[in-house]
Amino acid sequence: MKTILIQMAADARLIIKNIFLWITVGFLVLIIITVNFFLPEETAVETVAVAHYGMGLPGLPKAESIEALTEMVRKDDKLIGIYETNGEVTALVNNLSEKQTRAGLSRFFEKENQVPVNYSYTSEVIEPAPFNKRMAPVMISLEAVMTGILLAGVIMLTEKERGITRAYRVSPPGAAGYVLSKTILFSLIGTAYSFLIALFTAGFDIHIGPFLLLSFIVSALFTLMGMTVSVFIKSISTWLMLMAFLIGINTVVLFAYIFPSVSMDFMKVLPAYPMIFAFERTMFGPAGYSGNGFGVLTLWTAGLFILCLICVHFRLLKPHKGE
Amino acid sequence: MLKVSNLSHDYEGKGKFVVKDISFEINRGEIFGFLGPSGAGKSTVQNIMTGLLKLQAGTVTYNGKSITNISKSFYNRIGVSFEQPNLYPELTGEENLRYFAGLFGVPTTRPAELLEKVGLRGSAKKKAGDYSKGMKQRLVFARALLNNPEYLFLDEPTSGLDPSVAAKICELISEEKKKGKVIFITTHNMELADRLCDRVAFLDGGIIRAMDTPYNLKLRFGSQTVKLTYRGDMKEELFDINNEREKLIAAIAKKEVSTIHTSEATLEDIFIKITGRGLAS
Repeated sequence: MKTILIQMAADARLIIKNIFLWITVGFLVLIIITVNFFLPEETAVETVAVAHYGMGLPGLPKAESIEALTEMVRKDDKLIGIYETNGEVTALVNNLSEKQTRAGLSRFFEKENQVPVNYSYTSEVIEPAPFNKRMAPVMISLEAVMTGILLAGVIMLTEKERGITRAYRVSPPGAAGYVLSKTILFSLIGTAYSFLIALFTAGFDIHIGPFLLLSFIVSALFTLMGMTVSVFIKSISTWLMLMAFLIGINTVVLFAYIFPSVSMDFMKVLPAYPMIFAFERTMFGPAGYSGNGFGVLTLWTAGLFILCLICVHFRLLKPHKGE
Repeated sequence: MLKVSNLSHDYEGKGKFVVKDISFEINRGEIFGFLGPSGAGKSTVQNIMTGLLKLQAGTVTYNGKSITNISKSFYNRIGVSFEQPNLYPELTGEENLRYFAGLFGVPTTRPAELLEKVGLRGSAKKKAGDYSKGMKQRLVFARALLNNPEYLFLDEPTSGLDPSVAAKICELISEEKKKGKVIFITTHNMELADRLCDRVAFLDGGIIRAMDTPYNLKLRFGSQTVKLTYRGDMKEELFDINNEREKLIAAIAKKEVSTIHTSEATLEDIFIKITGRGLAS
């Protein structure tokens, strides 16, 4: 433990003096400013779908019962479910504001003021968050991916380039100490970043405990991902290209959150997919731990930790065949 | 005791051995010098001995225990000084030592004490990146002593140092020897080897060409000569003591001698004689 703390302290001193840290800090400030001052609270860009029960609307998905309709809406944030009882139309929504719902239903009514005003929210969401606040999970995810992948990777690559890894190899700590010290440090930094963004965008009205835990898990995940890849890289140019690829592929998933229609199957395989929806739930959902995102992300992190250990042990620290 | 037997290494696995059939042993309180020009395979042997390179053929044992069976805790007992100063340039000299001291599971020497020893006390708070090459070399040497190691591996320990600092480092190495440590030095500095080493091995083309004490090597391969300088024309003449003793006596008797100097072969002369090439090549 003492060894891990000493390594963490040294890595912290090194990363403070590294330009990449300050780039990510700049990005953090930019995110906070963008969410608070540049993103609108409402947007018409989002497309919503409509399903119904017993309304006789041809071409629209039809539910067999109000319960089935409620279940459909609960599963899809961008779906409006409508049904009629005693001549009164009720709209079931999950995560849409009144304005968005009115806009989504206006095509079925002659005048916008005829759009039903009876709104019923499914149990998932208490109050729909404004658009700009709902972008915070996207930004937090982006920052977590960047910080995790870049910071540990750059430290590792610099150590390799300077031959410091050789000095480490003739000292007692093994791969576990090496990987743990870096993972813990950069996960703490990542958690601090995420918390700051959440604090300055959504305030304290989030599930703080689950949010911090989730931030730590995803920061560890992407730190381990960055380290595992960096083990095999020798030059900074190759490293930068690979890191850009990793960041790119993980951020593509963020579109699935903003535009659900572009959600493709391959995106769901990537860890960024459950991450962004888990962040959304811990920030705006009624129960911070709901959904299986936490479990999936923890499994990803555990798997990457084992993989990283193996790579660091056999590729970085074990006697080489050639130098 | 450190024992190396029939060690060979082939980087590419195509039968092109960088070092071949290397055998030697080093006892406690002994300084063993591995001498040879750049590319002779000195660092390869040291890297195999310290576990940086995989042992392909032969054996390396520490008190009878093979390098292939040692645990990571064994590194508490060895100290390695690299030729290339591999330090954290962003950290100060003291921070560098404190960081590496934290990696060991045994009591370590205080960084300030080691910095004092190598003459860097005044630069303890200075970033290692701002050190001169010689200062970095001293810091790397100090780092090798942090854990008070039983086995000390020094790769070109005086490279880039001015003569007075080099002398100080030699003094420190001698002190470590007196503590009963096993010291392995790789160098192409024959003067350093002559001054410090109890035994030396000449490595050339990946094989050991000769191995003995510097004194015995000089005795075996060198010639002892006397150089006379005569008055007047200042002409010089060399005489081999063993083969030209009578000629020398006659010269002293007949001619007016200005100066008489004895000279013995240096390790470099012997290396050239044995390998046919100099150390700088």
